[in-house]
Amino acid sequence: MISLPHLASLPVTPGQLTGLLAILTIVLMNISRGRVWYHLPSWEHAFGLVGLSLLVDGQYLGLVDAPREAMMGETGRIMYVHVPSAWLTMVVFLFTCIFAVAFLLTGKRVFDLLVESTTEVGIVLSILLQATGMLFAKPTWGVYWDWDPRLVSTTVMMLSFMGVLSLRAALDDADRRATWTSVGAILATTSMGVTYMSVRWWRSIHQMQSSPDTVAKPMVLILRINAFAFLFLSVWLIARRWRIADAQARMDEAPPLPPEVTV
Amino acid sequence: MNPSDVGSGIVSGGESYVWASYAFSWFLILGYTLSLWLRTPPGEKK
Repeated sequence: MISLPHLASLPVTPGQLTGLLAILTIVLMNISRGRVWYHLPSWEHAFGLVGLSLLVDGQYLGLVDAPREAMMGETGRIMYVHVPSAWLTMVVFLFTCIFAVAFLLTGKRVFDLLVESTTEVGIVLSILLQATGMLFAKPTWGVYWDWDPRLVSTTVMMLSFMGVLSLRAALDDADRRATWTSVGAILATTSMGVTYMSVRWWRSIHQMQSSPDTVAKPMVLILRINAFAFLFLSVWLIARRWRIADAQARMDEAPPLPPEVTV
Repeated sequence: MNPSDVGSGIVSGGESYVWASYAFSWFLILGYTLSLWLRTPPGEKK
């Protein structure tokens, strides 16, 4: 598709180069501020760096090294973004449900904050899923959108989780907000099951789920690299989003400042 | 649209959709990362 050198012929892969440059930048930034050890970035940045490196490699492989898909030609390369984003949307929303159940059982604030974080990151992934799906659909089906069971159920799933965040934003009381967010997230997760099964339950123009047995080996490897890239990046984004939620919760719980004393 | 309405044969062209997909994935990930950075309180930026 594009005339770049193949990954196997390069001394370092684009992803390794990106990772090395990122590590070097972080170390130089720390040294320039006179702080080398104790202020190195948080643990989650390691996930971000690995995710970024894998994403650069995965997307390079998808664009350059991947074989042409037999029926979809060059358009098949969209698969390396679309399919991993679908997998990770499901995984992240599944964790939203697990954290919601954990909150309702234990009442621990950490699970409530994780519900908030995973819901938001899941929505971002589902937007990517929808957008790449539409860009995949146009050249293969001839339309960007169709009222197809898989497309509609995916949209309903995304809107359901958006509704959970809207509900969360609308409630002032912290305890009620946490409880109703978890209940909403569990209800929204049912739409995920419908989305997954939609291609089996109804006549759909969307293909059924693939497995490594039905996909060519070179394609499976590239799909896995991109899936792990999205997985590591998702962990990083969730951790960063959790820090914001945690800081906000601590601010909400802080006692009010004493009234100013005037003499 | 019914499955039978989708044409048969091999898809040709479509490179612009491929580029758009990859570009959008970077745009979205970098944009969301930037939004997280901007929303993070100063004390948590490390």
